[in-house]
Amino acid sequence: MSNRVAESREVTLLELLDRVIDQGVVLDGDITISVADVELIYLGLKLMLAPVERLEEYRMVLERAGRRGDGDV
Amino acid sequence: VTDPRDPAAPGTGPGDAGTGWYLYGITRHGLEQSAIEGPDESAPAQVLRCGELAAIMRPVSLAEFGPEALQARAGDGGWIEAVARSHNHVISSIHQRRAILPAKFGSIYLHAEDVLSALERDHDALLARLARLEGCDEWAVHLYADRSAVEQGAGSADESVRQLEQQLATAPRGRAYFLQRKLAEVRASAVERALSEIASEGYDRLARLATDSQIRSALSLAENAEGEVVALRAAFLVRRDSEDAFTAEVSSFAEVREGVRFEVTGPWPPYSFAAPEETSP
Repeated sequence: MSNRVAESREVTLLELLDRVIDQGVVLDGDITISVADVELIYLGLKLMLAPVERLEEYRMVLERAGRRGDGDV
Repeated sequence: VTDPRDPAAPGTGPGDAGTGWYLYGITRHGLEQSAIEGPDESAPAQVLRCGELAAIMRPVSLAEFGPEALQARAGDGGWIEAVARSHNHVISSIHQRRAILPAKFGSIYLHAEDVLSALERDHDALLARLARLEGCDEWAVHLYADRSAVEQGAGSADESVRQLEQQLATAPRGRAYFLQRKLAEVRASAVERALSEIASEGYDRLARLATDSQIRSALSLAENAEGEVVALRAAFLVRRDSEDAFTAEVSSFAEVREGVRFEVTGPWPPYSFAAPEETSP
């Protein structure tokens, strides 16, 4: 079967958001918005963008966000 | 050389109530400010030095990036897509020239000093992580498998499936019903096993050509509209001089497997490899 080196816009956008919003280094300091807030933004976005098959992932993101919700600055 | 902590240096004093510092990432000192592309001519990104390191930051209005503003925009896909693309654009322009540790989106600090003291505190560890990323790109890989093609392959290869099929061919009706159900079960687990094998073999073969790798999510059994399942999503950190070998391996792996294909996006800045090794929560 053929292999596609994909440039489907949707996949690229999902990969972009996964990286920009979910990954990356976090430095300590007085941050204006909490990590949990960013996780919730990420969750909302993924719900809008992604297929049903990944609902399990969102649940995990949500749990993580909930767990971190108290202590974050 | 100006000391970034000099209170006279631009933007390092305590921000007024309405201003924050948007952090793009951390790189080695020595980057020309003019090398950074975008995002905003009126408030360009700045290079703030600490020892051998530099933080790439931009003053932003908290009216746009404060907690309330972000919450209000959490559902605004268009805005977030634009911000994410702009974030990636700035980081990519630096990544093309030198290694960068991209910051997680939303790293908006009240004071630039906070970032500089974090750089000072973790100076050597951050420098070591940058050295590991030098000359590398991140590649995102989706491995898709056509479920029915895999099922045919797994069915004919699986001994217990074959035996059940033979028994079924001559079984009386009552027993046939029982065998039918048993066969469905055995087939499903044979398919799942085959998919897991494809995923782990694909991952291992690509990981051998990468400096680092990360499974983003493993097998998901739900099918997309084309009857495919996502066998694997993974990220690979690949040296630029291994890029050809890496993409050739992607192609050759899919070519010899019926119903298997990859989608690859990249090169990305090393978002997935910027954070230190995860300590379990």
